Amino acid sequence: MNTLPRWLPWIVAGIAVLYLGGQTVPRRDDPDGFHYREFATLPMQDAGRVLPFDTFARVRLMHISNRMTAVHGTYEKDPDNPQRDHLKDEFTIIPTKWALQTMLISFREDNSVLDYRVFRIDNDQVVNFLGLPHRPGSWRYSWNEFAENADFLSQAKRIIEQEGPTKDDIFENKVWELWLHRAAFFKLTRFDVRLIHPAGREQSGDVHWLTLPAAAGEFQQGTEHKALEYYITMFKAYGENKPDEFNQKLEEYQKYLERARPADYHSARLETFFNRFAPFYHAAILYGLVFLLGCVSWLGTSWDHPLRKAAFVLTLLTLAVHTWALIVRISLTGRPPVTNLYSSAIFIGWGCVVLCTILEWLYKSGIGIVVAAITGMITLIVAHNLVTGDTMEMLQAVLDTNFWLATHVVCITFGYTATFVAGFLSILYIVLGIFTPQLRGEGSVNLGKMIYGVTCFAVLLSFVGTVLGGIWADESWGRFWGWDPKENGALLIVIWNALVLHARWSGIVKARGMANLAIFGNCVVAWSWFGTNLLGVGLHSYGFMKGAMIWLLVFVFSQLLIIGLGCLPLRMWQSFKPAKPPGSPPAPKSSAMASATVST
Amino acid sequence: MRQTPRLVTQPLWRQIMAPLASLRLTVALFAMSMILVFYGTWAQVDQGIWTVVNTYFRSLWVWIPIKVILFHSIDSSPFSIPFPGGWLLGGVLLTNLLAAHFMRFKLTWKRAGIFILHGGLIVMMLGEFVTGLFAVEGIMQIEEKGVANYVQHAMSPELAIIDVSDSKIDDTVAIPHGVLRRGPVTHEKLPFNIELVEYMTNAVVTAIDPQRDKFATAGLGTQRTVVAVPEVSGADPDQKYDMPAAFIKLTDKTTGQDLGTYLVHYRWLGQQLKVGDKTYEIALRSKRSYRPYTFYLDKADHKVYPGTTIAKDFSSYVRIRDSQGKEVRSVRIFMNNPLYFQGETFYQSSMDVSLDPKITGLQVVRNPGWAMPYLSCILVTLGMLVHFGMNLTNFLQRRMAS
Repeated sequence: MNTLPRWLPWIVAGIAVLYLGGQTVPRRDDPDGFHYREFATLPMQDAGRVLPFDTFARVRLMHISNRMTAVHGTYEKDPDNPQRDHLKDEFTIIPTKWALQTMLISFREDNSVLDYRVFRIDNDQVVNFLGLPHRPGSWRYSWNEFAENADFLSQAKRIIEQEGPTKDDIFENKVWELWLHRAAFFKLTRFDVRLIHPAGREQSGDVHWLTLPAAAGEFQQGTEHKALEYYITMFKAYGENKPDEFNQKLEEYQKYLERARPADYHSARLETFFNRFAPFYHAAILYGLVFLLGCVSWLGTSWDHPLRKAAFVLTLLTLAVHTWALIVRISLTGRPPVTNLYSSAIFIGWGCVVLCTILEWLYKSGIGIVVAAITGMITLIVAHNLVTGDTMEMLQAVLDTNFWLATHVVCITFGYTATFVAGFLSILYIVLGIFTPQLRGEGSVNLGKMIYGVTCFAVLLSFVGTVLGGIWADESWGRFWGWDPKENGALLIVIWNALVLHARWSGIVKARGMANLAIFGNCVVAWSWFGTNLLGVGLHSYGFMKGAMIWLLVFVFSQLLIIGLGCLPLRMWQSFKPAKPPGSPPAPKSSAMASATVST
Repeated sequence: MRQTPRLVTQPLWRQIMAPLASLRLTVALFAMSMILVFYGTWAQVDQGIWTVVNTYFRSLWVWIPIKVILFHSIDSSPFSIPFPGGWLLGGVLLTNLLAAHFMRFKLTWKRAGIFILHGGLIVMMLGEFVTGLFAVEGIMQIEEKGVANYVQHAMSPELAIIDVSDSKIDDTVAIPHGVLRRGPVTHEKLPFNIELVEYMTNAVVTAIDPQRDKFATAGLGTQRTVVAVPEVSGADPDQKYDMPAAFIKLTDKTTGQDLGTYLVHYRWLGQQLKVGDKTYEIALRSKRSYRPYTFYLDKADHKVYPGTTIAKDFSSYVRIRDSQGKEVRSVRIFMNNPLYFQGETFYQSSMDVSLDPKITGLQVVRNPGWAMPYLSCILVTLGMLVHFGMNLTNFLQRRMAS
């Protein structure tokens, strides 16, 4: 039994590897049915980039449904409430299947795709206007339920005539949104999908892939496109419900692609694998596990050391997955890691985990692991909620420069990272200090040093990042500093970090005060990261951004609350309250943090 | 630590300087700078970026409306709160920094990084000061296959009155907006006096509503009118430009007879009026500054990503000709690749591709302080690397040793 603690780290690591390995095993298509999962790997072009059909289908479904799967079955009316119905014999429809069924609707006898409840209508005014039943929790409706509603169509027509919805009118904006979703679905049924790589047009820079109708048009003019023949045969077989024929042609087409367009073929397969593996999702789960292990390791049992070691090994393993996923994204996009809000979230998470792992390696107190787990998990959850479409979208002209993306953006993102790490270390300082005796003795000194050191990094990185941004602006439009919201946000981080350091140097604050200040740093970064994008709320954006605003406020208030806790008099802190009078039982002699420090 | 008993009183100048040099003051100034920058951002929700830069950052004092302080949760501002502006805070920060180094001057290797980095910060603050005072920005707009020899300064409107009676030369009198605002203007070349009745920073043209008062009694303003709209917000992602408008009253210089009230708007060029035997054009337009050379726009190129409307690249192919019309240079100006020419820099800034011919907009900048941020950046980065680097090395050595 005594050997178990020694083996614990490797047992945990083994379980995690098995778990991850299980996720990489490809799920097979039904051998007798259509090979949707294979079809999903075919390369095509959408929004200016070559991607697998899988991503295309996910993005389209996400767009109208706000999630990446559709569910269908038989709906049975609730006998007590005719407004309601229950789903029986439900089955999940993967995005590729949904997209194919939609595209090929006119080829097939089966029109059930029009009954799939995939359109999300989350505004109750619109739901009432369309005379639809309320479906709390799901708010999803089928094409047949609303698309031909005469009132809806006339509203949409009116909005088109007035050239877009009125700015502050939520109803009009939501009707308009639904109209756009309807249009996107309709476009899909019209084959507005660039599936065909044009033959013999490799050299001409940006290649415009062709939609099926366009390729057919060119074919009639005498231009032959190899892919066209494959697709037409496949789709015909699909319409006639002949899986064998479909699958056979699909296999032939894949072989042809592997020969004729190996780069597109392999990158599309890699991206499909990446989509299905969902590395960031599993990394978030594993970070959650690390957090639990880290916390348990502070309970003061004889298992503390092996648990902490297990948490550390698991952190490294998860970090490896996180890193691999970042590298795959870089190789697929051909861009530095941060190109949009989504990628900034996963990159900040990665940076936090790396920095915390170094801290843990230096201090071996468990603090680094716990902060790594919290920041890694939170940023990945944030990233998950930022997905509204293709996360590898093309960049606007002014951003189309890998040099500045690789220097300025990466540097400023590391600045955010370090400030967040300092902030979360400080939260731990307050939570551990108040509720546990962990910070007695060396503990508080060491944690204070960590916060200080990371803040030094933060001021350096955020300053350099901000100034590089200024230089980019100067190179692009001749203005080093324009005082625009995003620039001001970055400046606030620099000043705030400088303020924390100067306050510490001047003696205005000591370790605890610095922790409180550093927590406010979290708010400053959150403002710069999200707040500046939200300034236009009420002017331009609905839904997503409004939700983001609420979350930002929740976050800021939570930080202020913790700062409030941090201001409690020290005698109320478990770690700092004066020693008990003689005669009372002795307090625990040393905490995990202090003992860890002593033992190193 | 050794405590020195404070028996000797400090010299008077030291007593005065001490609070100016204190780190507490630094911290307080940082906090105030953050408040200024934060509200200078919120102010951009309904104010133009340049208005905000001038009132918040390039000023000694700013009155922050209560509406901005409450994050625009109320619609109007019954009162405002005074706050130190950018120049005041920057100036005091600079003084604080210099005073601190003066009072605690000690040349040691340990402080080398701090010296370098603070030196860099001084350069940066001076750089922003120089830019604020001396940098000139403008836009050069050129139609495809067209020419331009002047730069427009959209932030400085002027009223231009052009004598077009002679078809060979246009004799222009340009009155800056600031002069117009001060009171009636008399100019020796013009047979009438000019008086500003009303000025709007941003206005859109609409049909005349007979219910409302109309000011214009002559010219285009009798058929169409304008309504004032809020200035373009600094937070607006589209970054449009303000379109000012004004009602201008003209009176005969000699007789004092009313010649009518005209409406002028940025969009209206070529509005004519006749006084005696002379014909004039009257227009409100961006201030123009002319160049001794001409830009000819050969091609305005606009690339998008395949199958999308996402802009990939904008390029202007320009031929530069000297005053004699001789071509001196042929160049492609595109995103992130400006042209440096005669002390000015030309950046690809905008392109209106919906028009035929297409119009390209080149941002033209002359900034004598352009190099200062670069120098500052190098110094501050170096200083931080030295300072934190030394600390980190010490820390790691101790850590490894223990």
